[in-house]
Amino acid sequence: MVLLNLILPLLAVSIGLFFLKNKKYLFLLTLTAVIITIIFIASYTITDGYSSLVFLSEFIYPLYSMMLLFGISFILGVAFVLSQNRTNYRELGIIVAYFAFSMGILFAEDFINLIIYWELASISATLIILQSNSDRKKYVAIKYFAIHSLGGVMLIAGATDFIRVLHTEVFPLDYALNITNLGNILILCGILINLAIPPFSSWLVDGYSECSPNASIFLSIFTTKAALFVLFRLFHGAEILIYIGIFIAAYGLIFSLFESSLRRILAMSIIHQLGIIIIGVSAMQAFDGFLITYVVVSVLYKIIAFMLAAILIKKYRTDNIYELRNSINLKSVLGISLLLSSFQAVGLPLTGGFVVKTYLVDVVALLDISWLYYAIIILFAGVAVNIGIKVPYYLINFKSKAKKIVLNNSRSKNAILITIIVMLEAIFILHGIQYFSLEYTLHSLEVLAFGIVMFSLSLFFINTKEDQWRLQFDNFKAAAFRASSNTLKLLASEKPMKSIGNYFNFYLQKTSALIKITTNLSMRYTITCIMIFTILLYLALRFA
Amino acid sequence: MTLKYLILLIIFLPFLSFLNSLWLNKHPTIRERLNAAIAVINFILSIVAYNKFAAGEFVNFKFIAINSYLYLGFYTEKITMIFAIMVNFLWIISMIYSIGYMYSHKEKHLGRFFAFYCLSISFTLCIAFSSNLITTFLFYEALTLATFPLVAHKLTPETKINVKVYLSILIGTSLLFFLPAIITTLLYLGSINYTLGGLFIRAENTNIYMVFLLLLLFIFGVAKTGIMPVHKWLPAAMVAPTPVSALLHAVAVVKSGVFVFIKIIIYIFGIDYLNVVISKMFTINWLLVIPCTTIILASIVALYQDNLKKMLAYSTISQLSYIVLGVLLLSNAGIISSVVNILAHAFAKITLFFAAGSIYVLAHKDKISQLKGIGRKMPITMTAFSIAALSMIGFPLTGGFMGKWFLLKGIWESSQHWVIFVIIASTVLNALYFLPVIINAFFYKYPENKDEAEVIKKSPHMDAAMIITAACVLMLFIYSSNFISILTK
Amino acid sequence: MNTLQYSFSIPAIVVIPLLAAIVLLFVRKSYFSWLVSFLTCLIVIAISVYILIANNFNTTAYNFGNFIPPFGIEYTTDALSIFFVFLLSIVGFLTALWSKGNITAELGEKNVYLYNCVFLLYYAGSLGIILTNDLFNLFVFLEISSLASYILIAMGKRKNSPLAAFDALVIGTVSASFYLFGVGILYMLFGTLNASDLVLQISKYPMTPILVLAITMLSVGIIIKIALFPVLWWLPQTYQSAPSAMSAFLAGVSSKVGIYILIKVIIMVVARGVHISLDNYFELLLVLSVLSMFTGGLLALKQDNLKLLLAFSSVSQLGAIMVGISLFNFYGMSAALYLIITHAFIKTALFLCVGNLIYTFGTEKLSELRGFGPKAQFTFFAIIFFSLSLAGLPGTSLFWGKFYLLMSVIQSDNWFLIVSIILASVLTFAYSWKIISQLWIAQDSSVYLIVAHKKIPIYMNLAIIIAIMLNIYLTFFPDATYYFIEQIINLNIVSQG
Repeated sequence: MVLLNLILPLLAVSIGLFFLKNKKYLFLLTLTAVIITIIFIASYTITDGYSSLVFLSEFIYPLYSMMLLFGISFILGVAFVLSQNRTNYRELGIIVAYFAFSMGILFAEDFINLIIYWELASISATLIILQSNSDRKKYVAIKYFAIHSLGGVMLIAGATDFIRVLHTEVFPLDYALNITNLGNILILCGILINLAIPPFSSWLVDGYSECSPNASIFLSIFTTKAALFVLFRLFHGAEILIYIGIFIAAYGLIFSLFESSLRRILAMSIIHQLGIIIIGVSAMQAFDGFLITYVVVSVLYKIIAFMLAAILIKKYRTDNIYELRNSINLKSVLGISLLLSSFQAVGLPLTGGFVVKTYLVDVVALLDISWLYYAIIILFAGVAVNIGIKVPYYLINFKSKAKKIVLNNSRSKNAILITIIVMLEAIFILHGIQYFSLEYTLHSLEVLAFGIVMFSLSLFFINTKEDQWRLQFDNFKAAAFRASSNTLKLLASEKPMKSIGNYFNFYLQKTSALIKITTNLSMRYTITCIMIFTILLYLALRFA
Repeated sequence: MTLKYLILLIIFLPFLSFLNSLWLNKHPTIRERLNAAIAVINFILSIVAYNKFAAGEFVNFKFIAINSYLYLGFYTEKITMIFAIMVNFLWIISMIYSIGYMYSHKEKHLGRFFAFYCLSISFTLCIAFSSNLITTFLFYEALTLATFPLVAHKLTPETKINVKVYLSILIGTSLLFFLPAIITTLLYLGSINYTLGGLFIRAENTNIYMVFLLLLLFIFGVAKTGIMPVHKWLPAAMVAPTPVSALLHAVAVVKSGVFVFIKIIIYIFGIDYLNVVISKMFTINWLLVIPCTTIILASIVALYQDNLKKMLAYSTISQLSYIVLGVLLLSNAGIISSVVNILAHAFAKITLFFAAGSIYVLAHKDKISQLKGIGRKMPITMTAFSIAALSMIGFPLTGGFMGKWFLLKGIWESSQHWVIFVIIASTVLNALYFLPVIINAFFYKYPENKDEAEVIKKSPHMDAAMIITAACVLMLFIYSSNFISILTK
Repeated sequence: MNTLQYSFSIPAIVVIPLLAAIVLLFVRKSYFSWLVSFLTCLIVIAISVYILIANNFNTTAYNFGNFIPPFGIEYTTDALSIFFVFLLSIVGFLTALWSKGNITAELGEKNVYLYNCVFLLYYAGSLGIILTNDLFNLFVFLEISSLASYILIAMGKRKNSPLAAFDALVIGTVSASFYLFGVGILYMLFGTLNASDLVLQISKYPMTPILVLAITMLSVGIIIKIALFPVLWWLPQTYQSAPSAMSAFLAGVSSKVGIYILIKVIIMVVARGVHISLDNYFELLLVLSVLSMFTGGLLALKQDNLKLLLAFSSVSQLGAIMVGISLFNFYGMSAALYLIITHAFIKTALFLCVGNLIYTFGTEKLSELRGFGPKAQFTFFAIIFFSLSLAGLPGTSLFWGKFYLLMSVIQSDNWFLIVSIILASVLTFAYSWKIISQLWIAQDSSVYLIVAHKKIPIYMNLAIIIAIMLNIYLTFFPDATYYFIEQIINLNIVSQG
């Protein structure tokens, strides 16, 4: 149903966007894409009998909300892209296809569909990266595709084992896959690679920062969240996910301290968030609504962040956070929305972020691991450092005295969009108000204070302008890479084995020279006679 | 017409086109058309024969006999028929392509070229239908010699060195390893016919060391499978014109080598017997180390090649070892994967070589670094290249994916789990060396030469050939189930 | 023993060439001389066919002068003799046919009759060796054929032909003397020279040192004649210096006759007669044969002169044949016999092709002959065909022989031997390929080749065509030949274990 109603029409639209050059048609096509999405969501709602966000059966509700999330973010993103002056329609076409394939991943009921859409999504994401104007796009795209093929083939390998053992390719409904046999471990690894597990996570940071600013809005959402959904379905409740989640979140946290590019910081924070959600997945014995809500919240504030990044990069032509200092006015739509989203990210009370974070802590407490509470606190604090405090600190100009906000045309459209998003967030804020309580408030203020302390400390450690830590780390990575590629080159050089051939020739020449001497006439006679005589002697001795 | 005469015709007709190419040297158009007609007839005949075979007919006949166990014989069998259809179909396609290539490139000595081209096809078909090892060996050697004039078509000094390597490795290994292995089999088992279940089951008191020695001799003797120590002939044969590389070294020569190897393992050794023997001695099937090393090493070497054809040669070596690996896994799914891989790889590799040849002829470039932006100018070529490259990587919706799928299944069935990591690594390596070509081609601007007005010509023949084979790559994803159902019967 | 209806046909095989030689000595017309020699070859073929059909692999004897053996001299035809007679006669036929075109140009009009006359003498002598059952008669014919061959070698056009002839004279006489010495001792011990009688006599006799000496002398003489390892140097020189037609005939005949003598004398007489097993003896032969295979092969690789290359390759192939014989099992013997016949045809044909090349271009050096293909197309294709056959690739006649040889070697379970035989076959391929590669691959650098004679006389091409057809027959229908060989082994050679 998904294939026919959603994916194929969207594919047609994307191919149209890719190839046509007339502007009118292009606009119509994008509009068609949006309308298809809306119709699909609506029809899904109606035919399945849901008309509100109510808890229903275990799988439908999360799927529904994920689908809604994807659809809404797609529409918002497309609107954002179209509102700009010069739109790259080719890129937009591939983005539409990417969206379609990610929806396919969501709706996949069995392994074969999953694998097909998984790989198609990865290849369309690679094509999106290749549409940028960056110098490093070839390197980044190859890395992206290579790592995603790695994940994909691990998934395929595990899937074949699953199908062989259980003779069905449909996902298990009532239980999660247990991680004792190699096949399921491989499936887990494949999914985790898509979730940017650290040795294999550079695709995310590089990919999302080297693609074009518009595209990073879309790229940041679909792959990772769809992979999260699949992780929900297959591995909920697995205990090892706690440790993996902590590992991922810590990695995102630590390395984002060294970053100075806005989009890279945002990408690192995506990794961090993923880690936290993975911890949550391990605590789930069944699908649960609030985890999905966490996902929704994080997606929404990421969209705002990337949209802001797109606007800033377009205007100021730089990605560096230190150069973008004081670029947004506090009293503008952009400034307020950035602040609001930062508050959500930090988890200040009265925001939706607060609610979901506390809920997560509650759920995790059920797991009964003592040190986990403190670990999560530290991780939350880390988020507070990055997005919550660092980004607004640099970007927002707190001291501006301007009262009136002057916006030009495109900015106004963007402003409208952002207003819509902020209104969505307001819903969550209201939600948050509903659940207000003092205990939790103090709790989160504690977190915030801890975060501020860590941020100030980090300001001491990190020498802002030169990024020497990052440079050192990059140098180390480059040296290691060079060493390994030299060894590989040695393996690959395949020089012909000339030396053995030379030996052979040498001895052949020597023997033939020797023989040539003996082919002198008189020498030959003597040698012949001697040989005959020795033969005679031998025979005689042998037989007698 | 009975199946026996059909098979005889299928084997004999390409020989007729060999003669035709030699004699009608003065009338090129008639020669091409006659060759194409013979190719089409051969293909139709092979499909008819396949239908007859699927309906249950079976044929096994002798040709020249010295005594009861030494004779030239032909017979029909499942893998044989599939292979024959594939070879015939690709012959037609590559005929179309060669016409486009040779005329665009203005090559000379076309009569000799087409003659030995068709002769190689006829020898491949003879290998396909052969019913015992001596027939196979005879036509295996004959295939090497028939491809020699094709590889040595352009008589440059570089060609001479490479032809020496080509011949010395192929003939050296078959004389040093293959022939003694055949003779030892004959002496110790009394027969060298391909029998269902293998020869070893019937024999009493077989020495296990003899079995392993024979296995090793056969693995290294059939050097056309491109196993790593004896693989140098493949890159050396890339000095041939591209239609030769395409058909012969992606399809006919290497596939016949791999086909012979499959036949030997299934019908001389016997899968069940080998399973028993190996599981008695080891827990890990150490034989698998040979193809696994080849897969990884060849992919690494391919990463560093700048010449497009050399890279494709090493990629071929790597993919062929997938097929060898599939057979040596000694499980049902493994053998299915080998046959599916034969089909998938043949179509994909031939597309890749067609693309490489058309780039060389029309745009005069043969290095990967020179290929920036060529996708804009030659879109059909590079699209076909991309589809075929995706098939080699194992992307879903292509034939290569089905091959990988069954290979993985076979690995699980034979419980040699370490091989999975080899497959995973090689997939990534494949992606790493194919992607730069595709990205270079499409996502950069074509450097316009301001001095000369470069016109990149088009060749409808080459484009048509590439479109057909790329489409087949995609269709194989869907239609491979047909072949699989036959094999499992 | 049956009697043939026309049992005088057996000596007729030898007598007719002799008489023809004498006739030619007096009638000195060149065309007539060639015609006579050609017709003689045809007649010999016809007679041998008749004997084969009428006799059906059985043994027939003819007593000269109706003297009963062991006093008289007896000629026998058994399957082995007929086999070799066929071989000789076909090779002679090919050479004679070919020589019509070449001899005039090579030797001059005056010497044609002389060539044919001496050729017939050599022919008769070799046939006599094969047919006779009397050891001393064998020596006589050995001497006749050797002397004739020296004259023929001396007729060659090279500067050192007379010297080579002298060389051959010395070596040939040495070998014949050894042989005679052995025969003499045997006569002294047993009082009989008849082969079949000798078997009976030896079996009654213990193994004394004097008998050992006799066998040693015989062996040494024969080994020199066959050109096994230590004493193989006379052969290349001889082949190179003879006139082209003669090289061909020598290549096909001279050492094969030596092998016949070995089989007849050592295997049929001695091995059947003596009480002890001759395993050591055959082992020694085996070692010598392997060494000569390698020497011949390695040296052939280094040669630039085509005739020398082919001569060394003959040495190598003779080594292979001797390996088959020394292994002394069914496969070995059949391999050896099959190799004998195919190698004879191939080598003869190759030398004839080289003769073509000398006729056309005046040179036989590979470095000068590069890329002659377009100028002499038929010779080009013929050389490629025969070189591939020489390499022993499957699909050629030599392959079946190599196959059986490998079977016998593997059956012997001697790893060192197996490996060395395999390496030697790779060497064979290497030097055969050297011929092809030198002539084909360097095709575009043929500017310096001067054509001496543009058109090759039809006789030469005809002979080569017949050789090609023979080869193709042997490739595709080896069963008749193998049947023949089986009969030989079953009826005449009883292996001793």
